[in-house]
Amino acid sequence: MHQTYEHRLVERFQRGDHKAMELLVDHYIDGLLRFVMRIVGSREDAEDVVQDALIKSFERAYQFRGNAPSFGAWLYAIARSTALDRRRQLRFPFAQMTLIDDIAIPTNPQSNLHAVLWSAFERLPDDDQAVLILCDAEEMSHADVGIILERSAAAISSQLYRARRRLRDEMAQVKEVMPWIA
Amino acid sequence: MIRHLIGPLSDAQLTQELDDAITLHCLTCPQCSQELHTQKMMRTLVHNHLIDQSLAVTDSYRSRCMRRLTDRFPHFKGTSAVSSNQTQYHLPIQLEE
Repeated sequence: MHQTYEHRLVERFQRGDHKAMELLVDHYIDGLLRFVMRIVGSREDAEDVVQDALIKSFERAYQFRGNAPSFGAWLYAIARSTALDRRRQLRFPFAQMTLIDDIAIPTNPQSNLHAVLWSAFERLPDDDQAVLILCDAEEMSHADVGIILERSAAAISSQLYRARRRLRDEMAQVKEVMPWIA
Repeated sequence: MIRHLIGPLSDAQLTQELDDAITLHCLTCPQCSQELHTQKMMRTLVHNHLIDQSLAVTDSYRSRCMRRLTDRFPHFKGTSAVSSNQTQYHLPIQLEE
């Protein structure tokens, strides 16, 4: 979402415009759910976390000013923090079991690639997964991802480069240990 | 893409001259141009495959979210969220579309 338009929507929300809140929710809710799902591991927990994060974000949106960074990045940062709290409460390290279950026996080259990619992705460290999802899948700017992960944009660029390399290396390994995918 | 490869340099540190030099190098160096190609390929791969469509938000979930948000903010009281398609709100201000 263009930053100026986003700021206008936040200003409209601050004036009590329900439609502006709806537009912001509609724009971010899918991406938020996907992002949080990778942290907490179950859809049920992810849905609770996203709801809580939206409430927190809009409660704080009254303090949001036009010169502040992207509202979307701020929203993702709150969602990430809420999701990490939830994961600590759940007491399991990094749940991706439901996603692993999605890897079915492939029937064509495209699904082979999909399965190899997912399997390799799940072997990456949390931060690599987050950077790949936010930068490459959700196509957020490095500056915004930096706000979410509390790092500089340059550090995100660097990490993204390494994460892609690790993903490529993991994909090569997955093919070796799962010959039926190759 | 070049920026993805240079790591520690921030945009402010990356002058146009340096950017051009790196671009030229990557175009002429087989190893770097291969790396650029691979990075681009990985980005496309992730973009095409790691967005799980099965995780799309359902209408009922969206409605629950909107209902909770509506309940949370006093100036939205009196609104009623039924579903994404049936919602009718009484807005405190005129919308500027």
